[in-house]
Amino acid sequence: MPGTAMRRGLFILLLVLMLTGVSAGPGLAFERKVPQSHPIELTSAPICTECHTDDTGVALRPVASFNHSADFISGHRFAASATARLCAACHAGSFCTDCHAHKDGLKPSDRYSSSPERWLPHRGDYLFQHRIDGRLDPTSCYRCHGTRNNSACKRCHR
Amino acid sequence: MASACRTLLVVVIVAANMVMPRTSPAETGVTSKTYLKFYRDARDNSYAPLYEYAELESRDRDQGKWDLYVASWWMHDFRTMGDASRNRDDLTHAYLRYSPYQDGHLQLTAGRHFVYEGVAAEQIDGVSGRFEATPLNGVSLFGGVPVITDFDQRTGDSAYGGRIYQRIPSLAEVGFSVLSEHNDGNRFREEAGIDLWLQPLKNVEVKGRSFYNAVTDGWSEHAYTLRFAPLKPLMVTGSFDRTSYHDAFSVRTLSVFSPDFLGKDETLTKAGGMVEYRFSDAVTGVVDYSDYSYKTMGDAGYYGAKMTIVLSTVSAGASVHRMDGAAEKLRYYETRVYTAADISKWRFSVDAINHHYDLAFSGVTNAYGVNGAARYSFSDSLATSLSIDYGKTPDFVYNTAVMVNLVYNFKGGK
Repeated sequence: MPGTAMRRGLFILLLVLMLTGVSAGPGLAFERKVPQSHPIELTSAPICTECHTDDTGVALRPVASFNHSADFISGHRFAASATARLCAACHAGSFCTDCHAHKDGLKPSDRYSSSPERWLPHRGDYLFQHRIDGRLDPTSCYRCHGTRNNSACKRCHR
Repeated sequence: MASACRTLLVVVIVAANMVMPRTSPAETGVTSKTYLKFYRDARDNSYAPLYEYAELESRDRDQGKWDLYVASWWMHDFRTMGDASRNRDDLTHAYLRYSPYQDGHLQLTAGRHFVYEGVAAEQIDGVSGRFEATPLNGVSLFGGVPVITDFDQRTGDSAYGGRIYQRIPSLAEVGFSVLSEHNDGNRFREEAGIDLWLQPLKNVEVKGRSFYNAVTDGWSEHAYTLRFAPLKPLMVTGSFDRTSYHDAFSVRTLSVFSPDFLGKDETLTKAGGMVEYRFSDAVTGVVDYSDYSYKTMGDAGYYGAKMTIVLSTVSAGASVHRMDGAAEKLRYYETRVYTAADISKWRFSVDAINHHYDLAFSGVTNAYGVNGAARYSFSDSLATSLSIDYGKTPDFVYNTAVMVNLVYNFKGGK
């Protein structure tokens, strides 16, 4: 697919969006009102449905979709993309910055060594094990270190 | 800090000063985290880096119309002999976000920030906007200069793209996204993506994405997850991921991701499942399995279980996994246990991880790492901690790292 065709495709999709946008029904609220901060401080990954028992959700999705169950981390950016305001109710910007950095400073697991319950990656000395994990599934390394966050990696991997 | 970063920081702060009304009640937080670490590497070189992480967060306390966020770090190593790596720094984020409407259906961001819009998960120096045209659909656009590892000059570099989506209430959301990146004025990346969220039945949810690389003319990734919650405390998850190395790693700033090294025609298919059961508010158990299948390499399976306990002042967890693969290195047990306790102003934690390899590497069968940390909070604003790591791996016979940390944060409003 050449670049020109891609740009043309985006333009057509935008046009479709505008047309469907005009015809959308007026009865729907934009989004369930999300407070600037969660009224109760949460100390661990929340299962939202334990308290939010009604069916109304956020971004026209049920609350259950945002339950922080064990698999949540693998696709969390799509939840964030759907409603960043919901994330911001509990997480400060620094929460994202801890992992999503441009250059690698200290490992997140080093910076938060007194919080082992966060299951941050690369705990301990990861030097030997990274060769095994990298060969097993390089896609998981690439997401963070493929084009950034890799100045430390370059000491060996030129 | 590079002059471009300084310029960006000044621009963001000046823009913030213009956008923020003088009368708007602001909540401002400043955080300083200082770390001093002592450790040795495999060649027995000593390091003593001092890291300073500084953050400034300010936001419109009443209406949530704007927020400003600046984060950076700086490092100086007291022991490294070579000047090249003695000092390092980074401006991680510096952006101003503005939402003119109270419901937030239009959001504009400018500065160094992260965009996560479908196929794009990029850090840029530029602008981005999200517009919910109606509750059912919207559009996101972004453009600027990509922030990637300094492998060449930034002149002539650009990245832009966007995402549009359509929602069907409580049933589906489909997003289409594109990313175009130029390096030195040349075509570098052109990617398109489809992302999907579906709820075909009340307790069933399907999430996934497919990304297409227009430069290599191939699908780089398909990743789909199905979640099923038959009972309130039970969650069953199945996942399927397929990655073509040739298409997924065509752009990289690290040689190790070269398909020449990993295998030009290699494809990884990862399929697995997870069963999570919440025995109570405090106790959760997870059983998981992942199958790694390759076109050219031998296959592998990874399976095991995890248990976590979270009480008001104590948390603990344990996991045991078995890696069972065709290659020698892919046959091992991985075990982890940890506990953390809050006692008055103290927090104590112990964390241990062990890899027991079926075959010894450099004479080592059991590679382990133990961390012990103690943290003391003088007040809500000031805390200090001491962290000690001790480990043994095939690279290090014994390795000890010590780190002290001081955290100061201040929050105020006018």
